[in-house]
Amino acid sequence: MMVMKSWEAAGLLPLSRQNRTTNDNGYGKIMKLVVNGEPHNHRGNRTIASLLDEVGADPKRVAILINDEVISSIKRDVVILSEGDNVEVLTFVGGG
Amino acid sequence: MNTDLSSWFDPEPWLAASERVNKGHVKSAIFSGSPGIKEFAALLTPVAADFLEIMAQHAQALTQHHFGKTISLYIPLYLSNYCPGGCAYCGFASDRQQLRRKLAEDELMTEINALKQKGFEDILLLTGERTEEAGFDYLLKCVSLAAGRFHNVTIESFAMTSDEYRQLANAGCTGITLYQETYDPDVYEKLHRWGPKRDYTFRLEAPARALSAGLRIAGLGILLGLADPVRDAVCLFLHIQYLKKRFWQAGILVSFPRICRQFGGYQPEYPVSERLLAQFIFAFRICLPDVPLVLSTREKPEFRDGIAGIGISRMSVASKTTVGGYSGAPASLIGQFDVSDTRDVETFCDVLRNKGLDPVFKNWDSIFQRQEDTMIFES
Amino acid sequence: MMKHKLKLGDYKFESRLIIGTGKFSDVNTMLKAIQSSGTQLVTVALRRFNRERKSDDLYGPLSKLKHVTLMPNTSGARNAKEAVRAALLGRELSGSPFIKLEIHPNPHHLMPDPIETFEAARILVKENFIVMPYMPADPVLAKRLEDIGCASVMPLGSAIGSGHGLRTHEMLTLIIRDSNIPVIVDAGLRSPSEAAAAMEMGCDAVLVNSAIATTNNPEDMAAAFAMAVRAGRSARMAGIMTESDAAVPTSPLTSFLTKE
Repeated sequence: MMVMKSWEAAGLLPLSRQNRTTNDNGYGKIMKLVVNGEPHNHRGNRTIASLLDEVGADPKRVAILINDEVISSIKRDVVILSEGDNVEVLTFVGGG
Repeated sequence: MNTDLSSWFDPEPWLAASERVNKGHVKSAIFSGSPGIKEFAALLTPVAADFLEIMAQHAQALTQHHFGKTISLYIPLYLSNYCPGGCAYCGFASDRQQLRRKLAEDELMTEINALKQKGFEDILLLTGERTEEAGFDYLLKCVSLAAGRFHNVTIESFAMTSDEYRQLANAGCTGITLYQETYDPDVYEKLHRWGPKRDYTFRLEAPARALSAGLRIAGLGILLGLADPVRDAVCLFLHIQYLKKRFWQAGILVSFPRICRQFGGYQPEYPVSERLLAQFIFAFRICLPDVPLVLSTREKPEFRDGIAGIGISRMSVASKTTVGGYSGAPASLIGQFDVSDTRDVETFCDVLRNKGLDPVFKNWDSIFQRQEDTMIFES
Repeated sequence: MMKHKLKLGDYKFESRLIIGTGKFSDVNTMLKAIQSSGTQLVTVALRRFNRERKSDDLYGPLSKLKHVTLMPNTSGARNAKEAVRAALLGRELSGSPFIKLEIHPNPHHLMPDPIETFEAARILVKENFIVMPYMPADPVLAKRLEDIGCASVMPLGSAIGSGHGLRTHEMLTLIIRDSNIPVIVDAGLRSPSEAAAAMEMGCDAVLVNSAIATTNNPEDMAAAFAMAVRAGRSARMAGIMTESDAAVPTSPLTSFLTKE
């Protein structure tokens, strides 16, 4: 993962990516991730919010690990996923 | 450390409650699964005195449960009788005319050899209050020398600083014995007429300092006879509870020095009879079942023989309270107190064995303390 | 009258019954049991989100319960590092400072690992968690965990789910005697009478899971446990009658004392 830089946040693309022509929303090709131990093709904008949307999880009800690092809810807005990231999406279940 | 004494030992509520104790309370206290200060205070009452035999039976069972049928034997060695203090009850007080001396290094070694010959492995080194002649450095040196020869070296000496206790621990001392004598501040002030021991609080806090500094054992006690013994015993119990709560790894011991008529004439204001002494011992055993209880040769042979194993688990034998004295001492020396049980080691051990008790000289725990003894671990 | 509350960290609880949420047949049953128990502290586990099992989601329904504080547990962690990670995630998700530290590397008997638990506790205390370590009923380990700042100790009564009751009775007595922090029996309790017995012994609270979740009527069983915990605690505070074993002396031990 990378922390998002301000010009990306503004919607501007770095020069090297300006000529991509794929069927996504312009941020690059499909990104391969591992989510909860399974391979996952991410088609979103590489934010955690879009990944959670893809897997159907409510952001307020899950906790996130990326590559073994706990991602606090404050940090979630600035994290950008990278190819090959290992993501764990966890929720509370019954346990004693 | 919180020096607000009333916050952790105020005997009044327990003394007040014990005035209403009846036979039922006493029985509950004797057989309580988890006796505390309330039960202890109940067992010191005149009502409880009628239950002495039952208390004795229970005390014996508990002593056997926690200590087996053994009696741990130790020997006191007085290093010096120099003392600047004015304690009214003590044979070493500075206004008592007597020859003052201290053991020189070679004399100490002679005494140590004599004691080792008799089979002792557990030694208590004693001095008076701090003096030029026999101060901290002298004591430290003696401790180092003794620690090289005995399995267990403890001291009964003046109240010290944390740093001094730390140095003693490093030199091989395992613990201290330090009696508050009486917890009653007024009586304490009256009896400790002059000298450094007048500082009540410094003395009171010394066992906690010692345990914080790495010493493993604190032996406590009250000098029975100085003040209201029940009051003092309750305070002692609270003191022990405080130390046990603060230092869960520490060993606590309780002794029962009883002031008797002393050469020089101090008369105890609150004389404690043998029956009351026995009641106290049983009360401590029942309420602190795993704490070693210690009795010296100050008491008569008959009493010692009777109480061994029914509460008491640790005793001195063939003691001398003069400086040195185990390999010959000048006859003019006065002991700190008069010894009533003068039997030699073999005789006393035979008596114990006839009672079904096993006299034990060596505490195997202390073997692991000193590095030169360990052969197994290589660097 | 239950004057004294159970104090854990800065929190004070009226109820001395803590409920584990595992093994219930469904979320609704679990919620009913929680409510009828009157509990104010409930443990939950962290698992991977599974969209097919969204109905398992507890966070939603539990966070709606007033007066109930969530206590995430670290079950699933096999060592200190994993437990710490689970704790951070649990706090992240729940906002609760409580963590039930549970590390059992052997999945068969589920006995807690004393060494990993101690290590994790040390780290989590520094991270300002209210640390509640599940541990073997070992009196020395209990003091060590207390020394490093745990808010309580949670010795097992017997193996998780076994229903073998207070097998560790003797060790529990020693732990209770010497502890300056709450002692909460966890694991192995099968019936309300066992919970009452634990409280009579001097435990400060009990944690019950299987004994409620796996019965036919968890809601009623939870209520029964609540009554038992209150009964045991009241009895303890009132002072239980001691068994008198006044043995008849064969030969008197005090004959050596002079009569007065």
